[in-house]
Amino acid sequence: MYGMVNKAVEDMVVRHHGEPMWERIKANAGVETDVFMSNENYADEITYRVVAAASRILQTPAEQTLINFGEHWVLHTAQEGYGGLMSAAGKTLPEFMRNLPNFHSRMTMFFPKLQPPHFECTDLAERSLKLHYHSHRQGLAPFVVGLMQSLGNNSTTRSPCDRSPQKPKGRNTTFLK
Amino acid sequence: MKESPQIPEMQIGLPPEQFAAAFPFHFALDLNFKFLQLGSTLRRICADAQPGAAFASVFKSVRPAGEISREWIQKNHTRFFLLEHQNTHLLLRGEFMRLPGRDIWLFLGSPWFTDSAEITALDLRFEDFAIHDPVADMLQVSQANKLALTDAKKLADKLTAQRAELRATNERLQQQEAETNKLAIIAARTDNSVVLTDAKGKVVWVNAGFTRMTGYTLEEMLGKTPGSLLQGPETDSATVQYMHQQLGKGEGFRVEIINYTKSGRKYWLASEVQPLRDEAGQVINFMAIQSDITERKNSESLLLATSALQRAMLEGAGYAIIATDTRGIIQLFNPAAERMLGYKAVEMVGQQTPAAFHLPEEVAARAKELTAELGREVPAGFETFVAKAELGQPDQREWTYVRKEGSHFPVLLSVTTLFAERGKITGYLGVASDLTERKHDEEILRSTVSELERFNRVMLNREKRVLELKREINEMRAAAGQPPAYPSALEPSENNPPQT
Repeated sequence: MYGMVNKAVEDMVVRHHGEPMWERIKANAGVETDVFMSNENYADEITYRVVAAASRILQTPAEQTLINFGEHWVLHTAQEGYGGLMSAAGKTLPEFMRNLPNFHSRMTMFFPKLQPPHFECTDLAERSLKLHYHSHRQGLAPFVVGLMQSLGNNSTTRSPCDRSPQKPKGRNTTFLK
Repeated sequence: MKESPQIPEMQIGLPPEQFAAAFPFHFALDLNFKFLQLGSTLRRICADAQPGAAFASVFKSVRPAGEISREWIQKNHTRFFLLEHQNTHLLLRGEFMRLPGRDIWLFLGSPWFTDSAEITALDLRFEDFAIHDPVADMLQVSQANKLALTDAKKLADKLTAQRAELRATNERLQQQEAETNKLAIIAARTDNSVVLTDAKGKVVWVNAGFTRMTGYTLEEMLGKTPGSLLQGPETDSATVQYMHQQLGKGEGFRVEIINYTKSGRKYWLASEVQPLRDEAGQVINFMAIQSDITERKNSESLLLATSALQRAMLEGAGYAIIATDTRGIIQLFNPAAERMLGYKAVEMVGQQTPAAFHLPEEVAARAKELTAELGREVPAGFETFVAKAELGQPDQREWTYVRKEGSHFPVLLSVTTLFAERGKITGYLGVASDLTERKHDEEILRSTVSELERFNRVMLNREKRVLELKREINEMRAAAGQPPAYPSALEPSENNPPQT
């Protein structure tokens, strides 16, 4: 994953628990990197280790940690780094989700090693949509739940998420209603 | 020679809707340089750019710079144009081209942003751009660069801070090293014994002072606990237990303990042990600084024995023993003084002078006597008690003491001056005995003597009367011509001397 993700976890921990706690979590995760570079690609394992250590030390279930992280990503990380671009991506959640694949596609031009997840919206109704999330990474569905909850709060469409994980044909797919 | 571009063989025209979607920021100008048509997005964000409006009143050319006219555009149409919308300051980048066979100039371009916030300010969305338009991509590149710069700055700041910290640490280490060198010299040369152990208490170093004190060399001590070689039969087990307990907790301590040298000589040791910790706070060593205090301990024992004797004397004495400093403030008030006077020592020591239990008039009278006797003014007060003693003369005399509850009793007070070394007066000692019983005995004796004298007088009178009666009987018998019945009572004469 690109450094921006790890930086976001750092920012979330530091914002809520202070710098010494982040250093403790990093040490617990066996991560020696001083500063994560946003545009640098890091092994996924580092992010998993950091999230696991944060969950252990902060005594928060891993799933909740990822949900918190998803919310933090939208509220702070994406806003501070890409706030203008996010606004341009859509005023409502369905519009934003419709533009997300293009957004990810454009991102892969600048970050060649980026392996973004794939999102697809179906069953669009006035007050609901079905989001299909596909990723080669395991266990990050709660992160997407956090993202969606926060996006819903930020847009004109609120989005309480009802998650029903499915794994058709060996693909890691999660449906969010 | 430059190869000529390949000309497409097919003429491709786009229907108006597709053209508008492909170029949402285009506009076309007529012969008079008025807008003929504009892309839908451009019309939305530049409200004054409408068909019929004059191009020169709505936009100006930033690059190339010049007065906009049909001829000027004609002259520069192969150049890259940067136009500025005069109301919103929106920048459009693109090119002018003349439609073949028609007097219409077409501008194809798209906005230029340097910050994604400008998109938000103009209420633009990605859907307002053609998908092929690289503006959004440029913004992402720009944003990525900003993030990279922020990261680089953060990294640089962190490295700068780390460098400063390293420099400070280096300076601190140099100071510590200098300090350590000094301490090492001191440790090596001091008379004190210095022992360094590991965290488990095993010796890793001892100094020469240790060897002088104990007889054990560094080689003999290495890897051993000091106690295993130095403790012996008279070593206090409770102290040893306390030491183990403190070492186990990684805490420092001070003890005084009996140890034994290599030759078996017993000695008293004062030992101060401190843990040495690493940066994480873990104990890595213990350092003990020790000194031989045998001489002090012996002196203390002697002093303790002497003190015990003195205490017994003071407490057991039947005399009131009261010591003062040179100003008269009571420093010692023994139990006999407490019993006699009814004051507790705590009430008197450090607080009162002997004036508290003397009669002022008696003190004043004695002061007057001393003034006459010594030929100098002796004020009534504490000096009255010590004036003679200060001269080295014995001063023993009777005084009246006043009890706490007010009653009086006579005492015989002897005052002595206390001298320190070199004759310096440090205070005065008064020893007082209660004369109440002695006075009582004297009174009884006086009364008995007086009674006996009276009895004697009575007896003498009675004897004198008996003699007179005997003489009268003798005279009556003499008158009757009879010999005296009591020859011993005859009037004294040469042949009959008076009998006593």
